[in-house]
Amino acid sequence: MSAQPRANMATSVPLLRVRGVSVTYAAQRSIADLLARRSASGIVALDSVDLDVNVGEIVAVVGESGSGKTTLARVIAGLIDADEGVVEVEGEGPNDWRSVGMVFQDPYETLDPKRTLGEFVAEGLEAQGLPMDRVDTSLEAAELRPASAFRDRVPEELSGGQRQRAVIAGALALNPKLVIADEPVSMLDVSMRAQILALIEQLRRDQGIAWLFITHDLSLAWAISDRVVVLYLGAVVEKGTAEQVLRNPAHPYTRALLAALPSTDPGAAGTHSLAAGEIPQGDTPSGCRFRNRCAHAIEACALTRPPLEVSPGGGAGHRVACIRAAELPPLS
Amino acid sequence: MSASASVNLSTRIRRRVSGGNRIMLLLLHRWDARIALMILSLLTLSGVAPEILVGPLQTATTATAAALLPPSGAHLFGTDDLGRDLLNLTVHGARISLVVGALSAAITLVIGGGIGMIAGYRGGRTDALLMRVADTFLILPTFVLALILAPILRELIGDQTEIFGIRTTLLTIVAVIGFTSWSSTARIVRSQTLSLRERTFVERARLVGLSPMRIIARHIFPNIRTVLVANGIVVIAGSILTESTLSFIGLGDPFQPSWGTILGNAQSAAAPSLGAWWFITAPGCAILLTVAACTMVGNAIDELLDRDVRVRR
Amino acid sequence: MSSNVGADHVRELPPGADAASPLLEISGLRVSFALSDRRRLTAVDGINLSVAPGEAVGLAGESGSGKSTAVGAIMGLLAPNGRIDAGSIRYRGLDLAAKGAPLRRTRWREIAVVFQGSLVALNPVIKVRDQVAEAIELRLGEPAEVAHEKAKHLLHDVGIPEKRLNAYPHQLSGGQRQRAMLAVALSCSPAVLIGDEPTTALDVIVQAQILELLDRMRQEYGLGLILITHDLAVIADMCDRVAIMYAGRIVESGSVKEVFSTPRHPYTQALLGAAPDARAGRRIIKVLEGQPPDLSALPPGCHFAPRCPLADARCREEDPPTIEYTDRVVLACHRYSLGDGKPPTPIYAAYPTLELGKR
Repeated sequence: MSAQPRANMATSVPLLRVRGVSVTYAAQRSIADLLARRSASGIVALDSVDLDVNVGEIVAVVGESGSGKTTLARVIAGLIDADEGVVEVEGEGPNDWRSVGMVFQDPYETLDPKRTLGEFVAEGLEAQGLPMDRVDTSLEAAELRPASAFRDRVPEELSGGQRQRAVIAGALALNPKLVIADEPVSMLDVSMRAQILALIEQLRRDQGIAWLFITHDLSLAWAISDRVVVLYLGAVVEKGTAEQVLRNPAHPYTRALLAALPSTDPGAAGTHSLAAGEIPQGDTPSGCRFRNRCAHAIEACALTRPPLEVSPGGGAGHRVACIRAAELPPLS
Repeated sequence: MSASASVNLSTRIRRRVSGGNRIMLLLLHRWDARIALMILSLLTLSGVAPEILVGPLQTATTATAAALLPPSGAHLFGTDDLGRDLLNLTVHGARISLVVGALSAAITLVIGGGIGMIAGYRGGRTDALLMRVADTFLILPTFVLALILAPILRELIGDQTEIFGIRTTLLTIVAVIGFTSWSSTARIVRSQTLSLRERTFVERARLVGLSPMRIIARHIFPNIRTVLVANGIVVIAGSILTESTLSFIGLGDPFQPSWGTILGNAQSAAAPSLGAWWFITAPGCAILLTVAACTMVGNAIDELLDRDVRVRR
Repeated sequence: MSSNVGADHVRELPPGADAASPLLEISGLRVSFALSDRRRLTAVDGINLSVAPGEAVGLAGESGSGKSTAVGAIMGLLAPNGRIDAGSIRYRGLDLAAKGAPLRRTRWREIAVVFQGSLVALNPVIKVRDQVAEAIELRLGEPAEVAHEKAKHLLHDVGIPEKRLNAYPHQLSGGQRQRAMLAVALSCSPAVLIGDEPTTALDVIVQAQILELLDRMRQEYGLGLILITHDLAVIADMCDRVAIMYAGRIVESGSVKEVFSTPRHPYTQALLGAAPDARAGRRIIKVLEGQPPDLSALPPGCHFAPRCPLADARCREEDPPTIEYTDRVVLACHRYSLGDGKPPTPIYAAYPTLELGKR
């Protein structure tokens, strides 16, 4: 596993290419629905999402509950099929490639309590017909050294951080170019998170592994990623570099997220909620999904879904889906 | 011993005592399970080696005592209408119950468990189809079906043949019970499988490309084992009852009397009106205790599993 | 019209309580649990905490710090194998930890808790409004119609929309469930409200809304608020004072301003520095090595010593004394001595750092 030369980071062919991915979960119709003759509309989990991840890059997907981030992760990993759209890794469609690994949110659940770490890592190798000596190298690459001390342990004996490292080792065994990390540290204690974050960065630096880092933690997304994509109710509402999106947000939702973020910094202002209500359950609003909660919504917002356009700040690559983006007052 | 080495030793021990074995150990801590297990051990011993306990089976020709003697020092359970020692008969009768119980449970668990896991894991149309089949079997009343099938099968196969030392009449009963009980097991296994399928470690196995069969074998099955055992024990209880009833009405094996047969004999000998209560009590208590013991153990396992699931986090 | 049932409710203190005593004062509380192999595990090892009316105190700690056990002890919700070994929990002078104290009346009427939101915190088969009304009926003895009316106003006050009043818990969103739980907690106009990770499971924007609500309730009704969480930022936002817990002990406490701008205890420093902060523009984090201790097998000395860059031989042998300085700053660390009684100059522990996102 040699490090990717830096030059590749600027290639025009992205490692991961997601275009127009949409997923709708069919809703179950109750007798009441049948009697009332309501049409069988489903819940739109993802609505025409575009996303790129370049070689060796860390892209954060920021979203709260109902944003579709977990569905997106599973579509990219190949666990579920998108209803529409394309997912390509290194130019190839799904099921033709296996260079995508995944780290799940709950290390206590990802590891089968009855099996050892060695067996966990070996599982992937076995399924793909790869040599078993990669078990030890993967464990050590995930900083579980020496491998002989960890190979035969069961999850019960390990701390949360160690378990998560075992999960990463399992992903590394298949030599991925891209690893999807779905909230990899949110279930760990704050003081244990640094271990995992350091590992992620080290793997990126030394082995050129790209990461799709899914999180609801804005500060973490800003600190660790190169670029950020903000999802709301299945649609991309803003994207750009971490600095652009999370220090200078253009979309009302992103702004609301940032304003709601508490901080221990003595100089930071208190939090305030810029968005009314909560993420709606059930029917998605027409037009702009965020309009029912947005302080700046006007009638036109209900008509069509706003397209992603260049942000008023003009930063290269900074896109926002809001028809009023240019008129919003500057952030204090 | 260094710290890490001692950790490894306790790990190895703990690994060996994992899952189902742990439940066994926990069971032994409960007084109700202990009593039940003792009863069941006695049953097993009686079924496997009755001669050790009471000597060879007394038949009408080898019976030495007078008929219908009440319990006494010589005959702890009294004697039946042919002078046979009831203790002897009861202990030997355990064999039938054991065999019928174990075989029926085996068939039920294999068929029910297999179908349940496949239906639960695959979902979709396979699941729907298999469950419709299971539902069909569910509504068939076991006992009535056994009643109808037993004499028919006996006519077809004849009752002189033996397979593995067990008469075909018995096998008929076993088969009938097994084939009609599997559907509730299948439902239980299916629902467990459904929830297991959504667990992250199963998703991850799918992600790395493990085939469905391997996933079922490696991740689903070990986690439903204990449920199967609990269910199996309850099936044993039910099948013993069914077999006893069938034997009671005369569809059993006259040469190897089971508890139900003894009860049937007691009925025909008009034991109740003759006041020969021991004739009924001996086999009746045997059935009662065995079924109760099975149910107790099954319940205890269920409760332990419940706690296990809740405390897991 | 104020809808909170307690605003006009003249508080009738339970027998033994004294209106002149401090609202809630915990001294030297020690709680332990019996383990299956006959050992005892001390989850809370002698903590002191107090709340005044209208004050918000944060209790911060990670998992295993003992913060939730402390709540359990106050509310009488300890597991069967737990017991209060030592110390007192005085509500207006009445010791709730003493045997035979009139607990049932005091707890839940004078002190209420809002737990981390989940479907099982509220009864799933009873409508939300009925649950609040039930609490009022049972604890205040009001007749049903009055209770229902008050419940309606209370739910409205916490921000549950009209059409959701008669909903079942599973029909409400996470934020609404928390509001409903808050309504249940406030239904008897408690004097103290304890929030045990009340916003941890919520989205960021909803969290801000719930915290706003808690703050408003605190101000309107003069509640003493104890906020228990692992998220220091939430405490910075909401609380006046903070106590940091590690392995059952309070290692540092004081005003939020004081503790967060000049953290003195090495653990506080690590905790404050452990997360990046987008608003402050901080991407360098401190790395705290090691694992949280096994409470059933603690080595002698300071519980934090195994992970502390400042630890020396004395730290590993002797428990550090708890010293209280002026301005109510409390520290438990060998490196600091009483000196002249004023809060000492902080000694900064040299933790390894990690710069996130270094290109």
